[in-house]
Amino acid sequence: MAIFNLQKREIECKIVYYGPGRCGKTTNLEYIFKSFKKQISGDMVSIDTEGDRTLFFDFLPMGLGQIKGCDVRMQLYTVPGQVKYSSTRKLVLRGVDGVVFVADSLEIRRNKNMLALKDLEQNLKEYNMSIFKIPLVLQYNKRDLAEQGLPIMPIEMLEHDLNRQLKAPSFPAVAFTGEGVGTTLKECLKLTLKHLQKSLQWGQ
Amino acid sequence: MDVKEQIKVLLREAEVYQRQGLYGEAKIKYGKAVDIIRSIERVKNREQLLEGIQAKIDAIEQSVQKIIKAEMHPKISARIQDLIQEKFSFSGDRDQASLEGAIALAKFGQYERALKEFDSLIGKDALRFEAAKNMIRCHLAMASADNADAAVDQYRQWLDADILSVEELHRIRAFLDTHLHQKGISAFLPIPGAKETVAEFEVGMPVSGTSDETEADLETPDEDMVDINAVSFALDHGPLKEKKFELEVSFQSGNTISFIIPGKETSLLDNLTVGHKIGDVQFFSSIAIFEASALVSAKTEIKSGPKQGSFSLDLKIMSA
Ligand SMILES: Nc1nc2c(ncn2[C@@H]2O[C@H](COP(=O)(O)OP(=O)(O)OP(=O)(O)O)[C@@H](O)[C@H]2O)c(=O)[nH]1
Ligand SMILES: [Mg+2]
Repeated sequence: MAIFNLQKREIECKIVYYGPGRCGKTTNLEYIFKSFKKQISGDMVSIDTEGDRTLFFDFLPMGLGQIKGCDVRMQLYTVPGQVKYSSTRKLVLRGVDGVVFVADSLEIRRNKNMLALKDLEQNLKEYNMSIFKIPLVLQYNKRDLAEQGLPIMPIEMLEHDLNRQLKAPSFPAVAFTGEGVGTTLKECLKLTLKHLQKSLQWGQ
Repeated sequence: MDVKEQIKVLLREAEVYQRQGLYGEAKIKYGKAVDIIRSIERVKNREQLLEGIQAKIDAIEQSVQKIIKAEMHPKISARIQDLIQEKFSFSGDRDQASLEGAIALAKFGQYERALKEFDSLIGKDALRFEAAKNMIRCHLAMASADNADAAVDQYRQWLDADILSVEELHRIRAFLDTHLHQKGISAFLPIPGAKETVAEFEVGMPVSGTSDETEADLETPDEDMVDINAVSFALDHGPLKEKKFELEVSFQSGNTISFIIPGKETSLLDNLTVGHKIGDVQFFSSIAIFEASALVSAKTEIKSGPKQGSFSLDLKIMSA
């Protein structure tokens, strides 16, 4: 539910990074904050708890400049992945315009990925939104761990587990080096803006 | 893979998981390494190795404990509270948006700040009741398990002030009452409009014909109300019309009696909306059965505990 101010020709929309605990959502935002200086329009706010885990959310405001005659502002959020913060996840998801689902490539997190995707679907449903209709991008994070000899899932397995029905654009990533982070965000922005243009009939 | 290599792989995995904060997974891997080391005798520095791993497991355990014990709702800076208030209000209507912002603050556990915001909204007619109810919520959330003094004090202050209507006070009272009941706290909540607090000084005074009197008459003072064990009534509309229902009283406060109704009793619950008046209710007490009408004064879903999913329903006895 983007805020569209027709008079001022401003659009403010919300992208939420979702995924299981410790999959790298906050790391994505930290990298964006460091590397997209030109588009960052304010401080990154992180409210976290013991062990750097997100407690409430991370927040990062971005300005994308003029697009089709409108000043576009984009706000990125992460949800807390820990299972016990279910109600906070739902709260942060409210009013979302686009979702990046970050999956953990580690084999031992296979189930957690699937549960988190189910949780996303459920929470969207509670806001009368469908996971099939919302602009959505998947990111398969921690690809670097294979080099250290850790068991990670092949992309095909992740696609089969998570993206078989959704058929959303998906990208491998190494969030702390930034690999795949920009691509994921740009694709999500693109889908979200396209979706908004259609629903708000802006620029048509 | 030879055993040495196997142990090495397990320890490397465990270390990475530990660094990433995947403590459960790390512990499992360390545990597996320990099992292997124990099962063979010809490992060099066996005891030292086992001790080293145990120290890592202990460190994980400490980290887990810290996470479990971490404050769920730490106090955050005013600047971030402002951000929450701004970003978590969605309505186009300014007043409604202020209410949403304040509710978000409460949901994120910023009760003191939320209380201030609700207090500033209580003057707005359209928001008054919601703001008041949420203030009670904040007071209850801030209180320890067996203490609800602040919430009760707040309610009493409203009773004496001219902020909420009698009807709103009744709803607040029922709301508070349900919560106190759930917490197992008994507190005296004077009935709105009954003017009991004044009555103490007026004992024996001739009744004057003011409008206060009619209001006071509607309420039976607490001490006059017998203990009611159960009620029986029929619905006057809907598909269950004329079916007799018998409910056992779970709690009574003056002339308001509460029931716990299982969530699956949808046809009954759907018919008993707040404000609905039921005629000809039979009240069973240990000394008598009497008939009166009753008003559904509150209906709240129980969100946690063994009765989760059931509803707490309050009936106010109208006139005997
Ligand atoms: N090896 C590796 N580690 C990563 C990568 N991305 C994140 N991590 C690490 O994974 C851990 C968790 O990262 P966070 O970004 O805090 O995860 P999160 O999803 O925000 O976690 P919650 O807030 O608890 O939901 C940290 O130790 C990161 O350094 C990656 O691409 N590769
Ligand atoms: Mg995080």
